[in-house]
Amino acid sequence: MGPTYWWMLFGMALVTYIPRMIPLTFLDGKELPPIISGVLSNIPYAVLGALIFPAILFVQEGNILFGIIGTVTAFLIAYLGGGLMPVVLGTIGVLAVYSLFM
Amino acid sequence: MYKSQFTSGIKAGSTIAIGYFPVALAFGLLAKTTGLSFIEATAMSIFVYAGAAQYMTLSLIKLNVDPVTIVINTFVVNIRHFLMTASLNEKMQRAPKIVKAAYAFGITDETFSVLATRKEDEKITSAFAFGVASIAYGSWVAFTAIGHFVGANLPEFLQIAMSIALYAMFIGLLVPSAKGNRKVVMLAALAAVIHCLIYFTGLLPTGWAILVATLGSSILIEIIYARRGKNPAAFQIEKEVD
Repeated sequence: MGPTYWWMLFGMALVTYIPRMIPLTFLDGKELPPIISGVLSNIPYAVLGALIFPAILFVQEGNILFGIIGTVTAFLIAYLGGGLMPVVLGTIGVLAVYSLFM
Repeated sequence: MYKSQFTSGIKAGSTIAIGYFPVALAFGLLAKTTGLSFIEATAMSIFVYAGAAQYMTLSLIKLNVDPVTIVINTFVVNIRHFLMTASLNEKMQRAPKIVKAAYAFGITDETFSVLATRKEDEKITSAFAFGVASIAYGSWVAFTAIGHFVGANLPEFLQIAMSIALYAMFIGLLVPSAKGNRKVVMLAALAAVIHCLIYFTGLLPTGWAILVATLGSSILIEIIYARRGKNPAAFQIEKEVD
């Protein structure tokens, strides 16, 4: 990917490190307003929703069925209490069988 | 004293190291299928060290999102650590800024939860934090490298099937938190709906669409919940007036 990748990596490293470092070194027990901390704690769940849809449907170009089967399988395994690894491996397994006969 | 604190930190952190094994391995594999070289993939784990952001970056690279937007997205996703380290600061032993700045690099969701839930009368020592952080970090970097190496030797039909892995992982992260938690369901659903709307109308490029959907959903849902929280109190006040 060339030098752009390394600049991007440098930027990512910086913006990841700063929120970890600033409060520990400079902020001595000052609290954030509740609405701000509420919004901040919402972000991980919201970002997952935005990342999954609609991109998951178009994982294999021109084959939306691939995405749909994957979505249903992953949700099913996760809902039945499978951990992270069973969800990922199970979905890959189902789609591997599907793509063998595709 | 210092050494024994460090060692017990390593012990406490070994659970994280085991937990990182499949996630880092999968990251290495996925980085391979995304087209990153061995060095590029491993370097991301070495320098960035943020699971969710790294996975997100892979999907953004796949979608040809520009690097600046990827960096901004990384910031938005990782800003939650600001909250965590702010609360963790209360529990930590006083130490020179340089020492705290050094172990701050090792604060992730997982190391935070191990440190923050520790029941001790005395404050957590820096040495303990270094122990927890170093074994977790070592596991993350090593298994990223191994995952990429393994991914290079897989048959094609498996590599095709693996293109779903990233999203399956997102679902695997989301569903357990969403079970029995309406707010989480609403957050994810609203973000998905906003993203779909932007996607199908072509209003914004992908990276920005994800950013707008994430922030929009987080803010809207928070406002709704803040209002709901006030309602019962308002109701009670009215009743008392009656």
